[in-house]
Amino acid sequence: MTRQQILTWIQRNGLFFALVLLVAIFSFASSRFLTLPNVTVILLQNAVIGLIVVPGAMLILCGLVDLSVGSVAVLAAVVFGQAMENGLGLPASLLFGLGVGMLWGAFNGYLIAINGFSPIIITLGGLAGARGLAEFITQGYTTYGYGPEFAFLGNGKLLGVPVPILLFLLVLAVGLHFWYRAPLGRHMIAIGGAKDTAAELGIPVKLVPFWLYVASGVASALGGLIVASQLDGAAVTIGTGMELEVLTAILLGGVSFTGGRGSLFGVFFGLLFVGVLSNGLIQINVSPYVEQVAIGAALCGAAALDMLYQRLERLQVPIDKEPIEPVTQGAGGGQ
Amino acid sequence: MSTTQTHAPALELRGLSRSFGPVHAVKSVSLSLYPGEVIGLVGDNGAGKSTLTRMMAGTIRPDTGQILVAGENRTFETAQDARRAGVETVFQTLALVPGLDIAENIFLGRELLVSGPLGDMTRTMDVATMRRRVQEGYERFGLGLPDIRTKVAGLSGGQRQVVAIARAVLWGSRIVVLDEPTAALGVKQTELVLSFIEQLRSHNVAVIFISHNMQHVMRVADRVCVLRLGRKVFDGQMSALTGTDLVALMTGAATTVEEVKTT
Amino acid sequence: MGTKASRAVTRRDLLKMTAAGIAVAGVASVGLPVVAQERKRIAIAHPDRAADYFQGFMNSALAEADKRGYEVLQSFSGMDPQKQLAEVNTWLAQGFDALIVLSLDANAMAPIVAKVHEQNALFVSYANRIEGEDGFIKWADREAGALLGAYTAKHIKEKLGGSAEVGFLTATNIQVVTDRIESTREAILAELPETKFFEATALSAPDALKATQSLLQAHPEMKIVICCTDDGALGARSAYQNSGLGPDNVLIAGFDGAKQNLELVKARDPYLQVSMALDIGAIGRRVIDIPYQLWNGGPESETHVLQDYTLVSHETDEADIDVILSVYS
Repeated sequence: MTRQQILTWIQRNGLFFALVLLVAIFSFASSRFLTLPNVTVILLQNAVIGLIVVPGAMLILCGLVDLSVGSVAVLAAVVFGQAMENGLGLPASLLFGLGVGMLWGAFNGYLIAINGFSPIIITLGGLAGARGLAEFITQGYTTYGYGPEFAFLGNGKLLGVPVPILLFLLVLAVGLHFWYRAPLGRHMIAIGGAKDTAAELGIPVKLVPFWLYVASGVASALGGLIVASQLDGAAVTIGTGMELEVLTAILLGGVSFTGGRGSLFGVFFGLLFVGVLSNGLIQINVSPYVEQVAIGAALCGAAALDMLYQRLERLQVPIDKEPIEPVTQGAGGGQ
Repeated sequence: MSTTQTHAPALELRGLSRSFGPVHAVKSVSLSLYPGEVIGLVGDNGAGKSTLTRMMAGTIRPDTGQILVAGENRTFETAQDARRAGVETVFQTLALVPGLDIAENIFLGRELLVSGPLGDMTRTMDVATMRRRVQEGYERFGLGLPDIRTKVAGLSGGQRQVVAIARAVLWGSRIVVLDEPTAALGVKQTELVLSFIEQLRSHNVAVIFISHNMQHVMRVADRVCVLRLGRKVFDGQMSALTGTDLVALMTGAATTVEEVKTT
Repeated sequence: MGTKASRAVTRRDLLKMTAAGIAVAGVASVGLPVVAQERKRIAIAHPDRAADYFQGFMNSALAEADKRGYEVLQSFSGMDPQKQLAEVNTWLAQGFDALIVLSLDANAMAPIVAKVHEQNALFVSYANRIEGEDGFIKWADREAGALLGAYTAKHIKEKLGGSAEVGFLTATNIQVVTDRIESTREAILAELPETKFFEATALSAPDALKATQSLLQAHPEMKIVICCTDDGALGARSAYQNSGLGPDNVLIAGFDGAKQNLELVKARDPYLQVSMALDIGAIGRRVIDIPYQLWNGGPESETHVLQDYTLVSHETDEADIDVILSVYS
């Protein structure tokens, strides 16, 4: 193998092997780590972030970003709580909660995808605005106690698997299909990597991101409702720092922040990597400081690999001669 | 050429004119292009080459005049219209996405779905068929490109040019307009592109080859059309001309050649 | 042409009016403070308006201010230290007589203290100590930890046969929080030196839920979770409820005296059994009273206040819990 091929291989599979190594270390340190109940807990702990990560990664692939996810999550939970408090009943309250997420997503999409506003500014505004609105609605008084039917969303099990995990796996499966098996995946890469070209070829360069923002809003709202169900209360602390957790998983998973490149499998491994790290460090009872430092180090490592990879891509485009040995790659990492 | 000339022209421009304010960019240019023929379209800067190209590509509309494809009068409102009519223009930007591989680029925006209602509903692509079609295209045109799963980011400039042209042809376009396809390419890369254009001729594709480079035009073109200040000043067989003649026509040093040599 | 001209005139008129407006506002801003000077102005920089005790706290403070005839400036800066500084600087420009501040960045307060003193105003710190302060109100966190530790030790001896694993949900970088948790740990160790402790970071309910899930996987025998906040205690409770483990002799405790926690303790929840409650009404009154005492030469015990916590548990009478809860109604 040439040096280039080795580096490409590391970039494409490095995170997976880092994850395996991490699991091996924790399994060695604690006999309770690699057990079915703990694996279930790890998935459960990351199911909510995972739901939101799928549309989030698609937005970043398109060269966009949604920083308002955590605030939309708490707004949806609070609106749901108020609707329940006012006796609207469970189905209507759920619709209100999800509807708020959808509307906020559509608002983001309309301004950013259709009208070309800066995604960072608009969703940063949402980050402050949606949470502010949630706090204004609650006026400091948290609603709680929604009954056993709603508790099923966060705490229930189907066939022995917790409902949030099932919802996450469902969203992930749909996401993987669209990413690798539907035209949408290629269109997103085109929009993120060469928007003018995509438009020239008749790809809906405005509608695709618009609907992705709507999906991101709905997923955030669903995530907020799941946490509210788990806590049986619409705490105003729901979704705090969620945007960073989502971004960490996506960027660790190797999706380029400038868009146009990335794999959803990588994002899944990035999500698991952070989840395994925080669970495992608690299991082996080390200082809470270590977790932050470890995640930071992992992100820096991913950034360095990303830069290396970009440099490689440039190296492969000699202006005047044939590439020495073209690297062949599949349409998607998971095929 | 005499055999093909008996057929109807693949593309015919009749008296196309276009002004931008007081500037007459193109003045009543007519041109006929036959299947399996390569026309070199040359001219100095500002001669009207790019305006004419953009009218054929559908990105701007002529003030007067007609465009006929296979004898039928067509109006191009958008680039999509031109493409649908079978006239494919490959601009220097190439319209390729570096992050996608060759096969993905060729089908970008026109992906094939698995047949049947299920494929339609789930938007599942028929990846195998798309790859097979591209592979068949490779063989038919004898393309010297790397594996169809190579990312475009990993291709050289000439290879990218060939991919962009191949996309047009594989989509069944019988008329291809190439805007400066050899600009900024080295010797080897140029050879790759020029030999592909010669391949197209043998597959009965009609090509308009726009270039600054006289050597390249003389190498592949059957006929040459010279524009100067928006007018067609020469249209005739390549074989009758020398490079010096062409330059003289382009610069306006020898308008008389026109009278001597037009057919 | 006609429309264009008239439009231009309108625009010029608008400009004139705007200029006039600015002039009036300028005169007013110079003139009004003179009028306002007669009532003393107390600026309260309590940024956590989302906290469930905030309304109770503020209502109590406003009522006390009304009684004393003071005007209150409220904070809207949110939990961002930079914004808090900007807001305090704006207040400084307007002028005030006393500043009560829950400082989000204690290190950045030194210049503010100096500027406040330059204006002959008072600096009172809230929830922590700042160098140069004129007075403070702070919670007796270490004393509360000692109370909670003793209560926990009693629970371990009586219900768990004298030995137990204890989980702490804490944060490493907040003084109030580390005081609470460290003093609890010391009090438990004083009576039961063999006790094993595990730690995880969590301040909010969602984080505490995840942290407790992880802790329970590693230590299924852990029956006690002490959280540095009441919000975190709610998350820990959810983790126990959904873990499949029964509530047998579990003890979850938190600090703050939040409404939902107090109601759970009152309803004798089998998991969440303790909240270390602060008397929110008293704190609201103190915030106004400390400047009053300082202006009127009150004793140091009234200007340097260490507010005690009340341990609210299953042993507390429902009527007593209702008294503490009344601040939320």
